[in-house]
Parts: sequence; C-alpha cells; structure tokens
Amino acid sequence: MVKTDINRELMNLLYQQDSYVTAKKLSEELEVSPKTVYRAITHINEKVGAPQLITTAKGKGVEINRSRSLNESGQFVQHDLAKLSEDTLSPSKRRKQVMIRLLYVSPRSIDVQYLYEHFYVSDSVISNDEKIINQWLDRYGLRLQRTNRKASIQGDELAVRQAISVLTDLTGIIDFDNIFSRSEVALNQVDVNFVIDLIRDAEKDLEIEIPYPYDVNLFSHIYILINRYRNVGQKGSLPANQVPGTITQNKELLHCAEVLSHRIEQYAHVNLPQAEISFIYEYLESSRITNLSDRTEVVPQRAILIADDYVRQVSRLLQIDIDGKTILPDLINHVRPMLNRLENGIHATNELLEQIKQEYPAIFNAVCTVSQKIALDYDLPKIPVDESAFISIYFARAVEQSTRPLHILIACTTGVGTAELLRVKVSKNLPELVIDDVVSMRQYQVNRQQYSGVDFIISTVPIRDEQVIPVIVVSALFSARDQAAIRKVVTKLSGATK
Amino acid sequence: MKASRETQAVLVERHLTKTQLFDRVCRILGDQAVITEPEVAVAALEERERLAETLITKRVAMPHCQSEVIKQSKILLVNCKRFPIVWDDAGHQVVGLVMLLLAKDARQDQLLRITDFVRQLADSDVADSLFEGEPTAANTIEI
Repeated sequence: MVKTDINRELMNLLYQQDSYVTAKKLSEELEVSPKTVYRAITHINEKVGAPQLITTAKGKGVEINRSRSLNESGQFVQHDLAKLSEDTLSPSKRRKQVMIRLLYVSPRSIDVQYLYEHFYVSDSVISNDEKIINQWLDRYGLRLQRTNRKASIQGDELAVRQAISVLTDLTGIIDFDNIFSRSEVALNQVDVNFVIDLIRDAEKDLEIEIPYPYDVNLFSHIYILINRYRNVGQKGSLPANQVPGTITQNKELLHCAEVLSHRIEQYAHVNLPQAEISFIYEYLESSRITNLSDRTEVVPQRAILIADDYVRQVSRLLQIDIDGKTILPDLINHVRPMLNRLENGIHATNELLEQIKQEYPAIFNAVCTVSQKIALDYDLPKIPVDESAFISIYFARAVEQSTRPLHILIACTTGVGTAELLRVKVSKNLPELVIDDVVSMRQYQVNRQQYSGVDFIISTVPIRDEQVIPVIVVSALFSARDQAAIRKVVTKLSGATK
Repeated sequence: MKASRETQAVLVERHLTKTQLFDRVCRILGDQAVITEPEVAVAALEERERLAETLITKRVAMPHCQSEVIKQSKILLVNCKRFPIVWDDAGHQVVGLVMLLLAKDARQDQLLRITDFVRQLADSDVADSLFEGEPTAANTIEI
C-alpha cells in the first residue's frame, strides 16, 4: 500500500469509529505494522496542521478529532489527504481543488498561503487564479472574497452546493460501482458507501427503482450535504426561504425523505433542519421513479398541459402527425418530475446529449425551440438542453414507430434462385423492411410501373436502366458488408423523418 | 431436408473447371432431352456467373438460369467434394453445387416446389449438409 493510500484508509477507518480505537487494531485492519500506523498519524497531523486531526489518549488509543472541522481553519479531510499527491496538477485542476476546498468550508475563510501550500506557485499565479475563479463562481452568483491573507467564497447555500456538484462532476457515472474510477476529485469512501447504502435501502423500502441519472443526482446531493454540515455545521444549512414548496406531497416519498434525513443525522452527527428533509423529498419527487407513478394519486394538470403542448408544437414544427396516445403517458411521467427539477434548481445531466444531437438533429432542435416557448408560456425557469434531449428521446421513438416502413423488391435473373434465398435472409436480418415481391429481371422490366412504390431494390445482379429506384447489389451470401450497405440506404431513406 | 421431385444427384469424379462442368452437365441433360440446345444453356449459366457470383455459402454455389432450351425444370445437386472446383477469381473452392435449370414455361406448381427447396438453403448449415456424404441414389449421374 502506498503512503497516500494508507493515510486515506486510516482516515476512512477512523471515521467509522464512534470512540477510541487502538493502534494495534488499526494495524490489523490495514495489514501494516503499528509503527506504520503511528507514522501515518504523525504525517497526517503534520500535513493538516494544528489543531491535530487525529488525537491520541494514553491507554485508550486514537480518535478522529470531529470538533476540528468546526474550527476556523478547518477543512474537509479528504482534501487534506488529496494534497499529498497533488503536486503536479494542471492549472485548471489546481483551481478546481482550491475552489472545492473553499466551497466546502464556505462562508469560512482559509489562509491563502495554506491553501496553496502544496502547489508551489508564485503570488502572481495565485492572483491570476483568483480572477479566473471569480469568473467561474460568478455564473452561480458566488464570489471569492479576499481579506488580508485569507480567502473565502460567499453566496447562497444552494449555489454553493450546485458549484460543488459541478466541480465534483460525476458525469459518466452510470453505476455506483464506478464512482471511484470515474470521479476526478477525491471522494471519501466511507461517505460514498454510506450514501449508496442509503439510496439502495430507500429503493427497497419504497419497492421502486430510482433510475439513472436521478440516482446519481440524489447521491451527489446527499454526499455534498453531509460534507457541508460536517465542515461548517449549521452555516451550511438551507435558509428557510429556500424550502421547496410542492403543494401535493406523496406520503410514501415524504416518509422516505424523513427516514433518509434521520439516518444522515445519525451518521454525520448533525441536526438537519426541515428544509433539508424537504429538499431530499424534492430530489425523490424529481426522479423518474418507476413503479411509483401508478401509485401517485393525482398528476398535476400543469404537467398534462405542458406534455400536450410539447406534442402539438413539436409535431407542427416537424410537420409530422405524432399520435398523442402513444407518447403522452410517458411524456407526462417525464414532465411531472421535470417541473419539480426546474423549480428547485435540480440539474439532471443527460449523458446522451451529444448523441441525441447527432442522431436526431431535427427532433432535438424542434424540442429545444418548443422548450423555450413553454418556459415562457408557463413562467418556468429556462429549460436546460439536457432536459430537451431527454424529451427528444420520446419524440424520436414516436417518430420511428409512426414512420411508414420501407418497402422493397428482391430480384435476381430468375426470381427463383438467389432472390428466394435473399428473401429469407432479408426477413431474418432486416425484419423492419416490407418485401413487396421477389421477381426475375424480366418480370421487373415488363412490370416496372407496378413496382414504382417500392423504396429500393435488393438484387443479386445489376439492373441496367434503373435510374429512379435505388438498387443495392448484394451477394447471395448476404455478408455483413451486404447488410451494412442496405442499412446505410435504410438510414438515408429514413433520414427525412430525422 | 424436404427434397423436390425435380432433384437429381450428380457426382463429379475428375478435376473440372467451372465451364467444363457446365458443359458436361448440359450435354448429359441434352442426351436425356431435358435441354434441346446444351450450348445455349451453358452460355446462359456463364452469363449469370459473369453478372455476379453465385456462392450461397463459403463452399456451395447456386448457378442458375431460365431458358427456352430447357424443357424440364431441374435441380441438380452436384457433389464435387472429392474434386473441388475453383469458383471465382478470389479462388473460392466449392464442394457442391445446387444447379437450377428452369424452363421458360415452367408450371406454377413446379416453381413453388423449387422455391420451397431453395428457401431451405438460406440456412448455410442446411446447404453445406447436402454435400457432406456422397450421393447413393441409383439414378446418380457420374461425370
């Protein structure tokens, strides 16, 4: 185990203890000698500075100094540990680390020299960092405050959490199992495990599944909440005027939010105000929870109207008649929690955003246009492109289902030999295609008019003089290359609807 | 596999080229009055081969043509396992041929039976299995 890993593991172990633990027990857990444990304790305490983060008591053992986090100079432990291996960070990563440290202790300040202790940069670099950090914070309504030799971040608690969430960047984590491999910032393993268990238990209790990306959103919210309270106590609580105001509350979800809050209080040794319970409730309510929608008593009329508007306006922009019956139920189920997310500033990252933009540009653009209009019409906050991309998926599915299937003709010289073989192979491999007929070359040439409605022809031999209908010449083997050539034409011909 | 009454087995017992094989088969069928002008049938088969390859699996090909000189529609299962034939410029060697010789005025019921037979060959395992053993039928043509 490398030095940094021992320090991190030691801290994780100590956080799990309610009272003193002997160095011997720690050494057994870590599979290192007691001497190494003592060396690690000395190293951590030296790095973090006074007051000591790990205290020792003769005859009792060692304990984490929980009160240290409430001290003016206190910082979040994981970041102290992260310092041990951050000497060669790029400027952007350095600024990210600095911001995260300041945000976790906001509104408290940290000595700038101490903040930059391990980066070995000049005052001019620090000054430049401050400008860039301020620009970045400005988009969240936050500001970097410099008083003498100390720096702090000031602003709204919700904004602080949102900024931490963005910097923590759990983008790409679609499974809790890969949180550590994908996250760019150091995460406290014990906290991570606790929050994952918390979410999994909630799913069990509710007999539901919180789908991606809402599970990651909830994870991020609780993880940040715990660490805000741990670092700055009640100074990290949401003001009462930021308590979300859902009028109709789902009793099951509310009870679940209360249970979650109670467990967080016990775990982090904090008292959570009602605002936090309400916010956790909003996260649950904003998740597109499967199995629960059937049990939800009333769907708000507003969600129905907005979903209906989306269908009508997107249909009009795309000039396609989309069947409301097929798309509305799912869309309403999406819009309902989306409204909640918008009203409570909960951002749902859409991992498929770029893919959706590329695959369905026309649909995506139409949905974005309609989103802007709907935000105005219904007095909503700006609807982010990630949300529009989610909605685009429903329309893409509906469009694909409503699109007329492509009709084809299969031909060969006799219409009996390789063409009949192809009929079977095409039906098996490209079932979405409708085979209007299997013909010989002669039959086709004589009855060409009869087949003017087909979208393209698959033939084992070239068809001379055919200039109107696309002809794809394939081998009777119907290789992967042949199939790819057909799919390319199918995509091109279907493109009119995309 | 469901056979068709139009099916006839052929066993190749010497090294032959594709053209030689077409020529020999058509001449024998000419002798049996199945084809009136063997050279016309050979030309039709070769023309089809020129247009595009007729391999249906990596080791089985389906040369075919429809012509006025063909008086009875036939499916010839040509087993050339012992003397594989180089089939195309890529050097594919075939061990079996499903030759379809279709009469211009073939009856609909005949065409349906042939079509049914051909569809089964869409499964390459089925097509390959046709030539796993040597033909044992009494009327097997040896060339």
